[in-house]
Amino acid sequence: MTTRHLWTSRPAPVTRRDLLKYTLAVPAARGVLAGAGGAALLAGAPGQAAVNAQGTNVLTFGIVGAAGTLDARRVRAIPEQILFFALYDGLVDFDQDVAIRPRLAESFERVDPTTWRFTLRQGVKFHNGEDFTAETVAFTLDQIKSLDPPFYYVATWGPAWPPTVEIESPESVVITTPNPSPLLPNVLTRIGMLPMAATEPDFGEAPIGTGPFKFSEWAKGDRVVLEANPDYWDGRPPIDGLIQRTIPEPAAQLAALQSGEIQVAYDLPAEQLAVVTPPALNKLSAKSTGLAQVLFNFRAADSPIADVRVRQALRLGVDGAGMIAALLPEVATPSIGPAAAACFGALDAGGYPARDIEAARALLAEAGFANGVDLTMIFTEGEFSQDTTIAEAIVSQLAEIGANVSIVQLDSGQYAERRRTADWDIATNGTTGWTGDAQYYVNDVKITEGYESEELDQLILESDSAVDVEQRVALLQEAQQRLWDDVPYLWTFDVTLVAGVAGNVSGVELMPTAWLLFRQASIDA
Amino acid sequence: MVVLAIRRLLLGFLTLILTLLLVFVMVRLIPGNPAAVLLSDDATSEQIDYVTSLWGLNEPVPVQFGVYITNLLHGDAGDSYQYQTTAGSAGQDAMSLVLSRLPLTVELALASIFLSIVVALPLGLLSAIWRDTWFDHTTMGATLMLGSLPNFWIGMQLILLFGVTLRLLPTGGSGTPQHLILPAITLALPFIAVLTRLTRTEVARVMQAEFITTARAKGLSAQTVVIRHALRNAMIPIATILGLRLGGLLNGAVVVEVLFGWPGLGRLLIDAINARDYPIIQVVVPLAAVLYVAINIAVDLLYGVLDPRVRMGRR
Repeated sequence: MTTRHLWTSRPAPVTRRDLLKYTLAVPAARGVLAGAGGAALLAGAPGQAAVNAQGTNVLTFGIVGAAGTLDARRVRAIPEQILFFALYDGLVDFDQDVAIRPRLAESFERVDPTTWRFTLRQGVKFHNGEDFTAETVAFTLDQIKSLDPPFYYVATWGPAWPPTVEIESPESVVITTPNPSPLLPNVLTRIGMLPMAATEPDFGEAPIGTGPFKFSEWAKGDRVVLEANPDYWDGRPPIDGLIQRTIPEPAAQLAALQSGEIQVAYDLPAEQLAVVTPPALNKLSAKSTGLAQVLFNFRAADSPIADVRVRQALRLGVDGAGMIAALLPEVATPSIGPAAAACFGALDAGGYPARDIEAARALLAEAGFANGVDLTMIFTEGEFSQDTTIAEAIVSQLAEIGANVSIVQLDSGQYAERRRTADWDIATNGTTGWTGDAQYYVNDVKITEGYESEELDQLILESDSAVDVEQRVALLQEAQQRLWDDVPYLWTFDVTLVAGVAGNVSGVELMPTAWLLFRQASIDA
Repeated sequence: MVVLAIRRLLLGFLTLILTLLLVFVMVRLIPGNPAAVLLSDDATSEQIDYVTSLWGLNEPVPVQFGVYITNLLHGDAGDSYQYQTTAGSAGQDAMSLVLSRLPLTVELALASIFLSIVVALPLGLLSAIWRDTWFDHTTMGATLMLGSLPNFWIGMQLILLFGVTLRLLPTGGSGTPQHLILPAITLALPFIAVLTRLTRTEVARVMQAEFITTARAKGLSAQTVVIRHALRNAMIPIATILGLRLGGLLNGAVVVEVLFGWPGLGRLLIDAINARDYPIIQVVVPLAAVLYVAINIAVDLLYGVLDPRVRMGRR
């Protein structure tokens, strides 16, 4: 530039120091403003008004997923289950100790191995004014049985499927199952009573139940808005409304909890649990009936996994206690047996052994793999807390005993499909154990791992037929012991569910079966 | 001009058809059967096969495409696989679900483009005018930084600062103008970096031209020279890049939408891909293609307005 124009001047270089200032600027600003902001909050500054559009007596909870359906007949994923318990009631449900408690059934008894009688609560109405009657029970179960495509949980119902309902009187129904089924009440916890209006083609767009909350609005993939049912048979809920907000990023969910936009956060990032402290925030925790599992695949008869010594070796190669201590301090406890400890009838088989590299190598050698064994692990994110880190840790731990595990990472769709095949040796899996009974896990290995054992099937058949509870538990525990001795899993841990809740909210129940109940939730001003 | 427009429209239509075909075939090539994904773990292989045939997925692909096009001509793009809202009857219609999310994506896209223009153009212009001054170097340094910082990180910092610490703005979601601010800023910042630098470069280039010296020599004010002559000429490449950006944004800005829980098309598409929800994918992608083509046609027409040489038929 040889000529000078009026609007230019001499050059000024940008120094490295200037650039460094920019990288530190934002966190520094946050630090300074946190001090200022904190002081302002303590002084009672506003700011809340700009954020909360809803009235103060409406509770909003955040969750990562979104409900795909609100129809009681099709409920599957956790976001749907939580709304299910807000909109509908079943004959029974679980309490915090995973014991069955009466809901629309005032009482129930097992008349004989295949027959249960339920005495029904009178005077209950649906949100649209319809009455809950004995006919309702028959109608609801008919609806479930005639679903096309079929009801999703037939496999878990097992011997109880399909149930037959007989109306004895307006106050009682008798449900008969084709085979002895002690767990009929357990599976009935997930059957929400349906009004006759359920036959309408658009029922799912504005569902109707007998539950503590009524449907108000649904923005698919984003939020579901419910309002309190003032005529609820168990007492009007203390809150005026309930909103489920889909917040796909757990860190953003925590931020929303901290800022007061949501009052309950279902998915807290595990690394940030330390931030959730009283008095501003509280933690709800529950020892889940669910397990985080590292599965073996029993479908391929020629896989190294088919040899129990290989499975024992792999189990000994893993440092479960170490992983729990290092990665999962608040959200895991060591498993005691094949079923989660919170389940009824869970066997204490002594838990997973401590890591023993020598013994593991010896076992592998005995099985003919002295020079190492090659295995495939399929993996998808989101099965359980810290699953990525755990999978990597396990792979490196197993390398030290001579097992070379290659991880194949798949997206959830591919993973779901491949899991059903014989084309993997190890996989991660999260379960909820929602029937609340140890039998869930004896059944579960058949579905998830293709595990087959006539002996086990026989034991379960006998335990189902036992009328005496103690006898049933004894047989169930024997079945669990047999399963345990056959090394069904590489490793598992018992999940502790943790949710975050605002300091001024009480009465929210986090159930071991992974549901949230809001019937008695209240917000203190 | 009219011939230009008609030719562009025909090309656009052809693009739409090709996109439809391509998407239809490609989703079916992705491993993962939708029925297997969407039924629970409990489901038996009989149940999966049943649902697969219910959704027509076991037919040969050309047959499926034929059925799809026939239905599409009747206005039916199919029902979402994910949103089986009522048992035993039709689920959520894919077309209406996508269209219900479109306004939110448009809102976010327009807000972020507006922000970008309002910040980047003046900054770039001034940097070009005050070339090589502290202002210029500061701006260029800042834009370099902004362009390199991960979008996600910037967004998270904004959430923590304005949402949690200061409680001035919502941490996410949609519904009020305040909800739009942080997502729009997060989305705009990397583009502001690019646009500022481009504006500066283009304006600086134009300022070198002889006609600028002539204009100034004629006695025109600095303001007239800069705005009417320099900027106007620099606008062509700027308009191009703005068009490309807007088209891209209308695909949905996945990272920002996930971080802020903004229910737009980006999140819808990602969720649909994960769930193998073919009907939704088959609506979103061609729709994005149509919007992209439309915007590019508009930009082409805009050249006519900006550049008289185009209008006169010369290139």
